[in-house]
Amino acid sequence: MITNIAENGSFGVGIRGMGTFLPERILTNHELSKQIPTTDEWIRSKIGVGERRIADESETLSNMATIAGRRAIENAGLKPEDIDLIILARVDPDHIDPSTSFKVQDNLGAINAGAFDAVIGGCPGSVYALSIGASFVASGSCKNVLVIGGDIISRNLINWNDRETCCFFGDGAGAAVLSRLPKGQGIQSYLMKVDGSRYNACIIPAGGLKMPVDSGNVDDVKKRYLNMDNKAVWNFATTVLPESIVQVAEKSGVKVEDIDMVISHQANINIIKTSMEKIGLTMDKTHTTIEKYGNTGGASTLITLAEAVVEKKVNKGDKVVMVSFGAGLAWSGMLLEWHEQSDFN
Amino acid sequence: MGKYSGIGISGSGSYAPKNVMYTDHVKSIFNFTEAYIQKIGISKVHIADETEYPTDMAIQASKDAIKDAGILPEDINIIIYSYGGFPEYFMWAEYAKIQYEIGAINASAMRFDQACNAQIIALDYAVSKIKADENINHILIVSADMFKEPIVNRWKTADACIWGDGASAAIISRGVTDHEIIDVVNMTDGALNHLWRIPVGGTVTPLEPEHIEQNLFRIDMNRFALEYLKDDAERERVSKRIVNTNIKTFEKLLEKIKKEKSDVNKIITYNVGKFIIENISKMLCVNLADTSWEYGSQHGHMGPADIFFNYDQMKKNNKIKSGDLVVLFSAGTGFSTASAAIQF
Repeated sequence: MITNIAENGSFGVGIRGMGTFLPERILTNHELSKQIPTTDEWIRSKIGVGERRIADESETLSNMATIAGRRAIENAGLKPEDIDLIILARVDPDHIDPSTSFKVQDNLGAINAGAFDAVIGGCPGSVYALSIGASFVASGSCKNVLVIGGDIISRNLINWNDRETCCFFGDGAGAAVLSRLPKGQGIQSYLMKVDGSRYNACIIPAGGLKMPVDSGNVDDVKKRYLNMDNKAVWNFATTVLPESIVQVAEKSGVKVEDIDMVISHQANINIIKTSMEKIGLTMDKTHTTIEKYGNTGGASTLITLAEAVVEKKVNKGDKVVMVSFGAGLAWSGMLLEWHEQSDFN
Repeated sequence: MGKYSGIGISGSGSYAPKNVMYTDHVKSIFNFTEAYIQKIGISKVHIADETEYPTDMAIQASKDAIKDAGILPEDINIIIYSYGGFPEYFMWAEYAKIQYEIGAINASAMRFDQACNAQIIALDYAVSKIKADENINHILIVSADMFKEPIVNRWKTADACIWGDGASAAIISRGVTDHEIIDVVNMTDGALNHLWRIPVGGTVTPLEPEHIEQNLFRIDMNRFALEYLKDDAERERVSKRIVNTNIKTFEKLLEKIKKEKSDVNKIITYNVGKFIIENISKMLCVNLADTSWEYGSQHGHMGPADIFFNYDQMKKNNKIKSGDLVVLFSAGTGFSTASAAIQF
């Protein structure tokens, strides 16, 4: 499904403010190479990660999401009570039940906000959640929606002795406040897709109804941590990333060469380079954070866009394309025209 | 009539496993008093067999809803899946499996987590999406739950309900005028997030072997709530707070749709104990017979699946007639409430 939001709904929707949180603790490739058979050079060249941030024991998903959310609300020039809805895109919650977004709502003092967690396999979550939030604003149901993407991937999801997975990931959270604009402005088009035939490409088997965790498997790393089909994910990502950029641009009536900035999910620098090359865009039309933060899952496009804005790589009137992709296998893309806070009501 | 004019429920489906267990048959095992059995009022639940899991049940309910709506799977634009208990695997794309198995090749898919409240927040998103995007015509909302050991004891976990297994689905479509959604309200009181939580297994307290021995990686609302609700005064305070949120949710909905309590003909609620349903029906001045209690008492609490399960059963058994104003209501741990109004 690809839609042109500018022609439908009651309101335009834009990103009014952004915020991020990254843990202070840095884990470099050099440190990682002391515990698994790898090198800094291999990781940098094959994946693009130089170092990543790791949450310390006292940090939780709700802490990180709260700080990113608070910063986004302040950046938007709003107060917590102005938020109508909080959507938290994540994989691993504070607790299996209840939803972590409720704790975030309480922490923020967003007393007027409903809240729910959106679970879309982690990595696809950021742009999916922005697309979901955009509908609530466009329809008139909400004035301000806080979208947060984040995860502590380092704690329960990956085996730190598995070279196939642990080199990629880092922890972090990113947030955006979506607010009303005059109809036709802001987000121009977006898409949300899934190839359900590959639902098993990224999975953690133990801990659910089919495979409860018990004394027999609680220490079984193959069952307790992420199993990822890297080849399938590579083939998938290098197909959907360029395709999505082209599709949302076309739907918005924008030529690919006129896109000002591409913000991709930060899965692998070579996925980004290959994809940009496929559609004839040079790397100066994208901004990356994978070298500093690794793959931060559902936070990555939000963190990367926020940084691009701060570094003035994204300015008013710019055509910005965001694409996220991952487990599901699912992917989401969006084209928005950037606005400044003063453009919002 | 409302802001979602021309958007409504075009089809629904429900699935209950064949196996049944009666409360009466287990009362001596769990020391249920007659007073408790009367208070809860849930006489039986359906139980999934060894080969059935939530996504299997969700697929069945989805297929029934698609057939009921008279559409094809490829007509579906979005699938929103939810469960309240546990997933089949700790991390996987179960919503994508459902999309694949029902043949909804054009649909995106996702899961919403708002515990047992998830179907109405999914409805809130569905109507917003259809209103905002002219390319979206059909959205499938589907939920399924099963409750089994070692993750949960369906009989003793909560004193407000007994858990049953089952699934339900609804298709929200453009161009529907006979089961039209008028408006939706959802509220969150995040200050109660510490109640009824599963204490281990997330980022706060990662799962360790000793947690298995201590029986902590499970749903046990009574046990874990009592860690916070230490005395009668605290229990009373929290109970009042929850009731007030419920009342505010209804009041907000009625205000939004410009109706009075006396205009409400039927209520469809989540399947908690009779004593709670009686309070809800009293709040809205509706007789118990005009609520979904009949189905709740026969199926127990199936997580977020209750709402469209009861809707499907009431519709198919002609319990709702043309002209009725139907109010949906659910609540979930964390604490969240939601309500929606449908004009038949």
